[in-house]
Amino acid sequence: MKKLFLISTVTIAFLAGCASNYPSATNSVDSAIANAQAKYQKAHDEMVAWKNTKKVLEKAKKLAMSDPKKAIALANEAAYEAQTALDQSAEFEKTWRAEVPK
Amino acid sequence: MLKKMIKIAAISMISGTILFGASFNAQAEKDRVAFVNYFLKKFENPVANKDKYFPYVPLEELKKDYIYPLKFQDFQDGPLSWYKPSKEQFAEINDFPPYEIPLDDGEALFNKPFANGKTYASCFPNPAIKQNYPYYDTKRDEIVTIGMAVNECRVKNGEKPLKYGKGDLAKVVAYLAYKSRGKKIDIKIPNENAAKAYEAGKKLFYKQRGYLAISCNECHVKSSGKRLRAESLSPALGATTQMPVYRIKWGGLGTLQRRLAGCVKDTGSEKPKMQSKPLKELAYFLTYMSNGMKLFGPDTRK
Ligand code: HEC
Repeated sequence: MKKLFLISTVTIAFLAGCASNYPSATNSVDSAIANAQAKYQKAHDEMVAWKNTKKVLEKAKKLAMSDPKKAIALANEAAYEAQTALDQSAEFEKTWRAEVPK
Repeated sequence: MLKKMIKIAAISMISGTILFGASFNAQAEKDRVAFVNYFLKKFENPVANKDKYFPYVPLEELKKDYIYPLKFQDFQDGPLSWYKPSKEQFAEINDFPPYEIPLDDGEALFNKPFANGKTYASCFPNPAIKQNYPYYDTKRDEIVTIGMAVNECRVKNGEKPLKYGKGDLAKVVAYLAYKSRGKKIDIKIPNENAAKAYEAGKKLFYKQRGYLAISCNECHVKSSGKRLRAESLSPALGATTQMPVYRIKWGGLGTLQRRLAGCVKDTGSEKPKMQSKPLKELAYFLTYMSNGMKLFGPDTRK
């Protein structure tokens, strides 16, 4: 009983938290762009960013006011590319040495 | 007795420095020897070793169009070293080499006084220096490329630096390359940070990258000597020997870094900036791999 109570309070708190933070359109476009920017920057600093990621991100920033929906989609695409580049780099980090002629 | 002791001490000091000095490039030397051997074996007899190295190339083509056996110095010709049709085509083009006019410009620039009356010769009294570039400057703790050396000479003499990669800078570098023809590439790894820079360049070369998830190694080692659409893939051995090159596609000269940046981009990666640390490290690694090869720049490419 106690347990059930605990679970439900946690759930309610969680839901309430979500509800109160429910992002408005500008909020979510900003956070999508910030997320993409951070991931892109990391990939860029590690010299593994893909060719078009920055372009997509810049386009997202440009459309943030006029077309937030499209801007979010573009920012998410950029974030996805940057993250994939980082994941791929971590994966190849394990294997590249085997490629060096011996 | 004392004399003998001094002698022993001197000998051990000398051998000590040799050992100590050698230790920084020990890994690089191991890499280089294996690298050279890979290419010598691969291009020794492509017909006989078709299964191992050229399984996808029709036997007829190997017999008809491939030049072999390639010796160490033959790799200086890059994409033209092994492929007869390209070699013939470019021999014809080089009857009137397209790099000649920019090379003459380079010579004129080299000899033209700066505003202070001095010339590039004040920095490069002997212009046959390309075999030592890029080098690791231990005092500055960074790789110095020949393009940087040219621009630093300008700045020292009160001139504005030139844009990297092409144009006047590439022309001056072409002149230095021309004066260095026949000199053997001699890249050194003088300390631990230089060895780290070498390793970073090596990683950039071998590690797959970009949205194509492909590496330099994939095209210029494993697939070297294959044709990719209209191109013939050059062996990475000797890849820096004829730089800078006049590319028909560019309609002008481009430096090694310009070419490298383009190839990085071709993997689906962001294009690195000229003289950025990673690009310099890549050039340092790649040039080291051709140590001992005679320079023969500038040349012409597609
Ligand atoms: C998809 C295949 C491919 C990849 C990957 C690739 N290149 Fe290339 N590269 C080419 C082709 C094609 C050319 C033009 C023909 C030739 O020289 O091989 C070229 C030319 C070059 C040249 C000029 C050689 C000369 O003598 O003119 C250099 C140097 C070079 N690449 C270095 C690199 C480096 C370093 C990397 C890794 C960042 C790399 N390439 C990745 C395909 C590739």
